[in-house]
Amino acid sequence: MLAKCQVLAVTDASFFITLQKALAGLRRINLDGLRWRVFDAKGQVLGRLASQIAVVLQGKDKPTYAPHVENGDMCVVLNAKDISVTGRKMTDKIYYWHTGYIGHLKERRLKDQMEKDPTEVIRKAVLRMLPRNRLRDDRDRKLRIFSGNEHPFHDRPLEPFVMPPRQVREMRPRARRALIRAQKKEEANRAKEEGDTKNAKADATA
Amino acid sequence: MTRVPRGYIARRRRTKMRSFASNFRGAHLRLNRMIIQQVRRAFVSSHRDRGRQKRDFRRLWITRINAATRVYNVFDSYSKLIHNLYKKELILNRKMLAQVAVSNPNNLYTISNKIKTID
Repeated sequence: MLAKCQVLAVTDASFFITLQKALAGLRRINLDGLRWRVFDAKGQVLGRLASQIAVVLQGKDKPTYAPHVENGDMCVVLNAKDISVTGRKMTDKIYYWHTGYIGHLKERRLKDQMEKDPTEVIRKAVLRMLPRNRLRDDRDRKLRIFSGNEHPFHDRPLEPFVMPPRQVREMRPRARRALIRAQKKEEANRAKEEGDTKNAKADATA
Repeated sequence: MTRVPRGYIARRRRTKMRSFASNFRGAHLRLNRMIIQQVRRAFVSSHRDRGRQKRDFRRLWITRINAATRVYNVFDSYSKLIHNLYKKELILNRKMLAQVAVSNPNNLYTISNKIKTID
């Protein structure tokens, strides 16, 4: 295991850290009558994905749910760096926390957090959707998030999670007009490029 | 005045309370003053939670029925199941539905088929 970790460390330092975090505390989780559900965060909206994860993590999708017993499935989230948010949240969503010292209210924007550690974004979102009780820490232990596609759980019986179908609201008129304008501009650029290359070829041949 | 001790009245009252506190922790089951306080709190909790119990169990049944309808693809959700049950005037309460969902999932299918066919 250590050799494997060293090899991986050469390739990607941050992945090595998440690998350590990923395998940490697996022994503490009791039953393995649990399923391993894999969520692909690529292109998913942050909050909507997080609420589904929270439901699965609590075990609320099982008919044998009991609120005093921790029976949620293991959740593996991949491609955390490809999570998407709507609106201007990438630049405008701020995470606040207070260190306890007076005047020390810290903040960090979503953009910076994604550069620093994209897994924390999803982790915060999911943890803040779980009920704040004594089972919350155990549920946190069952949640494993990875920035990319690689994860060390290939020998487990993994089940991909299918997101429930979603009614995407149609675009607001101003946003739609902006989108159409952007599309037209791109088409114009592409046409111009093709025209340029054709002219260049014509000049070359002539 | 002659000396008049109070007798065993207070002691009797306190011994009655002691039986309720027999499974409390530490001084709460040994010392009379603490017993009185803790037993009163226990009775209050018990009274309040008898009302809560009805609410809590109904909540649990609803969560379980919701999970079961989604897992077994009976209906899309708890709300649709209940709506259809009411439409077809099937008076199964949630306690029964939850028990059915947990123990005999096949019977969920028979219920849903009954709902879909009576029309």
